Amino acid sequence: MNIAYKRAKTSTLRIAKGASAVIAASLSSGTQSGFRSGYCYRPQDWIRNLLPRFASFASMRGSHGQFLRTIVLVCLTASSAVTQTTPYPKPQVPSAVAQLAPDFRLKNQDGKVFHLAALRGHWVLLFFYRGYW
Amino acid sequence: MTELREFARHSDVLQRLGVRLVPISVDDRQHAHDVWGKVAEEKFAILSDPGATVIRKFGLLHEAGHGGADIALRTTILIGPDGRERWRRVSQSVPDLPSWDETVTMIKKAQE
Repeated sequence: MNIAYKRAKTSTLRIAKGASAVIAASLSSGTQSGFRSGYCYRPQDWIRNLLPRFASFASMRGSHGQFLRTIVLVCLTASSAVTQTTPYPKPQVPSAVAQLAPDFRLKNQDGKVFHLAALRGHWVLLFFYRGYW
Repeated sequence: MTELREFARHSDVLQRLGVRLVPISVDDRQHAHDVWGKVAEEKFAILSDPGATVIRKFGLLHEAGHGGADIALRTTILIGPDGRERWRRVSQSVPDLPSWDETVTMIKKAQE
């Protein structure tokens, strides 16, 4: 019983070590590139920093490595399934096609005011995106 | 963000079609500026709607959609020269986002 407990404890510690190394690498790749916390614009930086660590992780031998790889695979599959299948809420306005678009004023990235009505006579493609990248 | 990169990549096509692209999100001005420089390649202005006022006006609020914060439902709306909506596509999930080809097809169809 004690041996089984010690083995389980060792496995857990090794997994935690591996996971924290990967997380730390992710964070450092973000800060080294001068990103604000939570934002990333250059995937190549992340790939360059993380690839060697993932390579050593993928080549881990023995039951611990296999167990860790299985856990990561399950997590990735689950997160991918959730992302792809969770529907967004329904819009509050079901359809407004053929109706006048509501006019608005908003500031752009330079603080200049944009007025939708000023573009009357032009085709406009409004693109609402989620933000927080 | 992928869609914004696509728009930036094909900005010449939008220009030829006479379409002004207007991206909007709840991001603050500083972040909108970052997106303008790094994603939109400075090809079109990025609007900032931190209070989601305009997003609400269009009925596109995704309440608490990002860690408790309100965000916009990913939506593409084509407005004609008369100010009327010609096409609206509210994406129901990530794979439901309209492709660049689909967007161009809908623009051309509306302009016929």
